[in-house]
Amino acid sequence: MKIRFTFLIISLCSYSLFGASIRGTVYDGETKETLIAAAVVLEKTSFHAITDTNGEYEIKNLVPGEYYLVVTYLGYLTSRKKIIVPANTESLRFNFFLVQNAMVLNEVNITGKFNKESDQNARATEKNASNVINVVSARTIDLSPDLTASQVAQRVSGVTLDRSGDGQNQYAIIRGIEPRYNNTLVNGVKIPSPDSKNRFIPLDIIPSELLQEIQVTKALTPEMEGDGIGGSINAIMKDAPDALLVQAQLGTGYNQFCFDNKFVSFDKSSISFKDPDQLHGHYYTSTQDDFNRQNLVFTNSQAWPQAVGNFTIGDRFFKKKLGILISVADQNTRSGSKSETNSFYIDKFNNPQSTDDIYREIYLQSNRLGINAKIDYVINENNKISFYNIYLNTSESQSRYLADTIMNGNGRTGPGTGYVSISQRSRIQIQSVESASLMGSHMLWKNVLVDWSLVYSNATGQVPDMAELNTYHTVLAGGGWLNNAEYLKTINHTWQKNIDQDYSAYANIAYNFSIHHHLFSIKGGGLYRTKYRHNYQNDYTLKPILESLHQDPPFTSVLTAQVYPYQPVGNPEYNTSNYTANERIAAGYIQASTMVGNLQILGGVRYESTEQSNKNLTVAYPGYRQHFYYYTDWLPSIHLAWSIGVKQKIRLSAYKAIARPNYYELIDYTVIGDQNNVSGNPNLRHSKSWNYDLRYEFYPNAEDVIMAGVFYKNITDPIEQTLLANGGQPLITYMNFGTATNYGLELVLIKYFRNFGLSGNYTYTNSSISSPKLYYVKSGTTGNDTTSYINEKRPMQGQSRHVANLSLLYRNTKAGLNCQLSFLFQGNRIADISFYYNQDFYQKNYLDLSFSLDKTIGKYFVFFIKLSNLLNSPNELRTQDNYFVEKYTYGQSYLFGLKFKLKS
Amino acid sequence: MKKSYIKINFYRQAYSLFSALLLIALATVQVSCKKSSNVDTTVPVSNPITKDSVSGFLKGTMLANKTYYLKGDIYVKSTDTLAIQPGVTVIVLGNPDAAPPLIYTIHISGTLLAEGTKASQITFKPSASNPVWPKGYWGGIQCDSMAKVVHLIWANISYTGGPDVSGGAQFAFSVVGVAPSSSNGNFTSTTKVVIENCSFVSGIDDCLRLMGPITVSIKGNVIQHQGSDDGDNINIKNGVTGDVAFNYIWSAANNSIKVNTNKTVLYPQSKINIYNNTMIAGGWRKQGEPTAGILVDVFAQASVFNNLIINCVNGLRITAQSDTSAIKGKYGYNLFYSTVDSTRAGYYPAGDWGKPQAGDLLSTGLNNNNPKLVNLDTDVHAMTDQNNPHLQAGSAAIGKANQQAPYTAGIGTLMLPGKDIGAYQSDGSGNQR
Repeated sequence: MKIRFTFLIISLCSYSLFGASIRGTVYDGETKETLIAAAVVLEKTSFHAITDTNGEYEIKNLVPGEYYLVVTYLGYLTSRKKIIVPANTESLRFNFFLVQNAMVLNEVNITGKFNKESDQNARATEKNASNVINVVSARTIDLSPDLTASQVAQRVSGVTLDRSGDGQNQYAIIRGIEPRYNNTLVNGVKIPSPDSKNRFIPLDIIPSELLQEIQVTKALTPEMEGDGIGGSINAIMKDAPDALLVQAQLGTGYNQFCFDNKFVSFDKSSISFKDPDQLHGHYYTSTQDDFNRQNLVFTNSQAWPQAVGNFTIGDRFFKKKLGILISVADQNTRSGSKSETNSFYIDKFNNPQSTDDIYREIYLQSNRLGINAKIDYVINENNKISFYNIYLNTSESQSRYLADTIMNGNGRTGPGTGYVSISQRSRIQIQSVESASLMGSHMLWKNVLVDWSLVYSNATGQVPDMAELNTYHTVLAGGGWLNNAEYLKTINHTWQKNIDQDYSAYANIAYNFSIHHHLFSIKGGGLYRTKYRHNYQNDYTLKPILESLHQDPPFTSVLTAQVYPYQPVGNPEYNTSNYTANERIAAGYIQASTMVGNLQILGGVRYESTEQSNKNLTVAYPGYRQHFYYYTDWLPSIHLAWSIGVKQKIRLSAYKAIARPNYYELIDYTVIGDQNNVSGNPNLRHSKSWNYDLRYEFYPNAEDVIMAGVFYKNITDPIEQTLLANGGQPLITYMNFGTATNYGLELVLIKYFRNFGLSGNYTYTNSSISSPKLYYVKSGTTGNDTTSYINEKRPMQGQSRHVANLSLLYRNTKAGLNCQLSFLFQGNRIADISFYYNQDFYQKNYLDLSFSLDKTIGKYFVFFIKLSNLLNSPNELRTQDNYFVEKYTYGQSYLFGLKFKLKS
Repeated sequence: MKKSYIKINFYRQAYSLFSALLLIALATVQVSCKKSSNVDTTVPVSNPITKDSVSGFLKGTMLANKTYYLKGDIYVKSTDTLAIQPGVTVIVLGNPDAAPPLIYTIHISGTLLAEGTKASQITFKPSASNPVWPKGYWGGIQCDSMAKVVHLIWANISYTGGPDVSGGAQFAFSVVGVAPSSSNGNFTSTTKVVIENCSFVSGIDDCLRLMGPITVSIKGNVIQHQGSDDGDNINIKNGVTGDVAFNYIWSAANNSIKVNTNKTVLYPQSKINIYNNTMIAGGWRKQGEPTAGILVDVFAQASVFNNLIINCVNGLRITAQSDTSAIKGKYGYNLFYSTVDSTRAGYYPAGDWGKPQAGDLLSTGLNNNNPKLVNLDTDVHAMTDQNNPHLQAGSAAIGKANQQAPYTAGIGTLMLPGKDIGAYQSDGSGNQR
């Protein structure tokens, strides 16, 4: 929860033995909003101050006399005021109301005032924060080639994306710490995830156009939720503007993959969102006629161009008291990938041996809709309430073709030379999130600020009728095709749905006072959240009706295939993916901050109590499948920021954080598979970590920045998936593994030279975790070889040792031109942990190049181009010994369009 | 291959608890094994089960010659024993056509002692008066990782393979033996499985599926028409040791006998002696894969002697993925015969590691190396078994076996390798069904 102090009044009651001090607030003369990082200088003296996040400044120890106080702020006319400091005065107050500079206002986005969406504001937030934080502004997002919040996040130093096989980048890895350890927030509030596996909301569900900024907090303060070991990513949606704002954007584009391949699609309209059990009643006996076949009829056509658009309108009414903003964004894109996978097993000499060659084509159409509405009402100068509602909906339809050739045996040299099984799958996935917050902030007395919020959120993820058609080609034992006949194996239909509901309440109280001219701020508060999750899955397998020789029939068409549901009532009560989970979190904190000389200190402690329960809804086997958890954590933290002059800062932070296991990992289930069983682990403990950060920051001016930092983390009970040999039937499950460490170095540079800008960051990360890995031991002559375990020390999953971003910017205000060329480098990292010693899957070095351009046309229009993945970089996995595992290619993406902006 | 979802909760606390119980049970195992090799297979009456209908948790003894009606799933807990005396008939109620289908299964987590005699056999069958294949009527007998002793002797099991609640076909009889996790890889075999002189008819998927570090004696059984479009009939996986001998397998959907080690974890390794089995018309319903009478695959060790393989799609497949160094020299004296011309090339399919061995008899035509069964049905797609697999005088199989073939002593009935190839010996020994 994060509410900025709108007002801050300093107590004047303390008595000073030293000179007088002057203090005050700098406001925008028109909107009465406070201005952050304005320079306040006493002319012809060395006394000066910079306003803080509340627009406050303070200059101490003044000798009585006559001065000129000068306030400067980018985008505003400089204000100069004559003041007299009489003798025997402790404190004087001078507020400033600056007038916007009309000349500069025309280029408001580039060099204007500290618009909330501007880079300057982003730098000021970073600079004035009491903890370690990085911010990407809306302006940067607007100029960048990025379409989703997750793509934006990866521009932040130390942030990489967990690039999944089909090209979706849902979650962020912060400084080598994988997504499970990082929380994601929207408007500072944790909202539930539509993802059936992850606790946190996937960032790729948020269209970038709705964002005001992305904040990546790398050191948590007590007022922040404690489950951010790697950090916290906060997507802040656009706020109601100061005056009428109308913005629109329309764009189109194409993907190189769609130029090169006809797009494969299927009939989505025929899909039923309910399975036969839900449609016709429990235990309904289905027949083949109950199942859709149209979603297994795949057609090729030239893909439609992409369409992206957004529209924002906002204004303030009733003497600027009521602010309203509505922002809608929609992105309809088509993309695809081709991949080849080498499936293998580890032989008794601990070497990989290929078993299958898998070729895959994926065609993905996604529609991403986001609606952001904010209303705020300033009742009076002491009271403000606001209401936010955000609705996000991503629907994806995916056609997948997969051909798997079994490579065991002689004469099997590549795809198509062995037993070939073919799977064609259609899948639509709809994820939606809705979150409504009612918030208020009240100045109770002149220096006590209370804020509260009530939040209701729900998230649903739905995969209705995922259909899969499995056929195969026969082959001779020695390799080679027996004939060209294709036989029908099975047709599968799966319905999956998960629903999360959260009710949260937050309240904070802040009290500010000063003792001997030292400003103290004490803040306390808490949150209570109750969550309910329900997961549902139902599978149907249709088997072919055997032909006269009791064999599978030759396959001709999915429309005419004669099949029957093998388990005609499905398995809704018995599917191990059916579970419910409840979680209640109660948290409280207290923190205090003050300035000692140039040292800003913030410290405090947070208490979080977690109460969880879950229930496996499988009723097939008698016994208890229900588990309860209760644990509490004390999470202390301290943050020091030492200002050297106005331009430099050194920060030191230490904090404790936790990561709770994902809900489904705790579920008491076992799935018996052909080669191994998979189970949850109800005994999993939550992870805890101590985190340390040291950072040097240099702000030569409002836009430029240089930062260098080091960090160290020590994580107890990290959670990893592992394989237990278990004597015969191996078991894959989740376990806690000792202690992991993670340290590294971060560099950030943003520098503008006239029309050119350079923005870069580099992160070195070195993490280490040790877990037992399977290794076969030869026993020499006795022949009793055994399965053994060796503790293997390795980096944590997802960690790249080297991560770098470099953007070259060109801006020409006169011509209204902005260009950006962005490189992204992500070094070798473990994409998948192998269960075997020395066989982890490494994602090879990845270099991405993208380009974007903005050109102002006339008064209101901007033409834009966004080109991404220009190098068509493959996503390639290999084992430590460079044995080929998998390679995906996606193709370049091109987008162009027109933006409209009207601001009164 | 099917995935079936279950029921058992494996977490570690349970393991430590059960490993203690397993130790106690070990003692029981020793006692029972000795008993089974005795001629007298009378099961003592302790805790007699007197009611006619059974369901839910069950323990005690089903009484000789009594008929029981199974009207729900049966669970035998890990600390309990279900004993079944000779002559017991278990009629499994249920109806695969009902909504929801009523498919009942016998789940064994403890000890099963179903010990009939030739004269007084035990029968498990569905209540349906006229069952039709391929339709699963009940769920068979499923022994989980906690089962310790499983004896199935002189029993008849028919029309299994009904789906479990997750929708997967159930095997006629399966044992999933899992030893407690071991840090040094030496998994102790604790479960003993004796399946002898039984009859299995018309199931949907695998007939016998045995997994994990268990010891087995699978001898003298008759398996007919198991598996619909897939299903290995004796499917050995993941560290099973013991013998498969003197079985008669007719019309298996996929491989008649298959031995594998788990590809994910290679040790413990499956080590099986396969001798004196007869298999006819196997592998015709499973398409796409080179099915075989006997398949020795992924890192399995096996000895394969004295088997009679007739009219199977392929004969003996020992793949390059098997533990070939351990198999080398441990197979031979098998007789391959075919009335289907196209299959003669597949006795040892090209591309596999296995090659014809000393003592092997590979028939090249109808009158070459003819095993001369009393009756051989040449229709490999027949629905009913018209064969009489006993040998006539003058059979090429007589006296051609290797009596020095490896076998395992100490579990089940000791049946030494015969002098004739196949399950039925000309002197009347061998398979007694």
